[in-house]
Amino acid sequence: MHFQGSPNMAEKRVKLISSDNDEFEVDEAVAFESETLRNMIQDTGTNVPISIPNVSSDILAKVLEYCSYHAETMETHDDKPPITDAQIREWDADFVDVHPATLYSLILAANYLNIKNLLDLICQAVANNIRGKTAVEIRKILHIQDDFTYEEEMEIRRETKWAFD
Amino acid sequence: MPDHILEDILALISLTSLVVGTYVCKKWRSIISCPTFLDLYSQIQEHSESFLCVNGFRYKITDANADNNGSRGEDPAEPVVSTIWRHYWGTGWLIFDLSEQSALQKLSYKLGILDKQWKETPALIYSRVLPIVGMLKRLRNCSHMVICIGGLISNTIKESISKVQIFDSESNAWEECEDLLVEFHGISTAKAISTLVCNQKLFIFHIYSGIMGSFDGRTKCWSQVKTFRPPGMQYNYLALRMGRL
Repeated sequence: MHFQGSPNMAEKRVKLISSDNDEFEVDEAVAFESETLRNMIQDTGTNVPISIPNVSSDILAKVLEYCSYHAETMETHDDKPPITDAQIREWDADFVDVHPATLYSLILAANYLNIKNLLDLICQAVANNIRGKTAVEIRKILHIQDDFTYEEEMEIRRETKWAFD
Repeated sequence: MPDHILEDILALISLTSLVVGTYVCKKWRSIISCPTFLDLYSQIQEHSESFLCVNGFRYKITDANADNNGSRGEDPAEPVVSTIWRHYWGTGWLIFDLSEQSALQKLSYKLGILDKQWKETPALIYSRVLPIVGMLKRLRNCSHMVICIGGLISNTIKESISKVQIFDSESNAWEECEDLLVEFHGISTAKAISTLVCNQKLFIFHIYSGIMGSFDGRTKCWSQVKTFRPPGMQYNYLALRMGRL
């Protein structure tokens, strides 16, 4: 990932407004982690607050926490050693160690804001949650309604019998 | 959840979980059964997961090894799919049937575990016991080639052969190719060779001596032999991670 713009770009601040009307102010570099915000800022500049109608303040706070950390990992300081990949992985693992419902909201937010790395991270976390679970457990975790009839379910089980042996 | 995200998530889970996924709900089932999803799935899995194909078993390298990109060391491996009945994994997402105890006359195979239809090749030019079997896919027109290398003449004559045969789904026929690299003569059975498909090439690696060669599916030629033998290792397997050996 790279940042475009003048060297003092980091000093520019962007105002974001969540669906429940909370205001957040972040560095432009942090907002630029989101492809959607980057496009908006490039269109309208940083003077106008950007409203994000479908992301609530608790989720937006979490997303911005991710963006700030990852924007920070891009920066190089002469006096500090750079953040290692292992440290980033550890941070990311902690970040997604949340309730499945929060993960689900984060997916929608990351999708809307188009933050590819965050989306990949959460997809992997959800995939890890699914791993080794039964269909009933998966439905429970992701709040999915079982819409098969009994006959359909039996038919599927016959087809995929080897998976249960 | 948007379908494309669900696809991204499902593309990351293991095959057994994916099969479980087919009866979570109708939407999941239709996504998983869709050929375009299965293509995405096999591509992502081929490039992100570390699998070993040894003796017709498929192993997944555990995360303990995750920091060690493309390691050729003695990998701690756990079997993910032990045996699916009598079906065996070839490299490159091929499953083949070894139901005949005697030498293989022809090959029954599937293009991955979710492929419902068994395909059958015409008779092999040379029938084999324990050949090295792999598959190369052409992304261009979805055709594929099944490569059958070496193997023993029969259960009783434990002599391995250096013939290479390729089945092309376009021509539906076996074709004899350039003989196996001379270094691999006499050792070319599925028991001693670890194989991998990467970038349209089939890599073969002798697990004891560490010699490696590759067969290019486009030119149908063998490469030079290289040796990779970390000191102190008794045997090694070849692993693929993030699209690299």
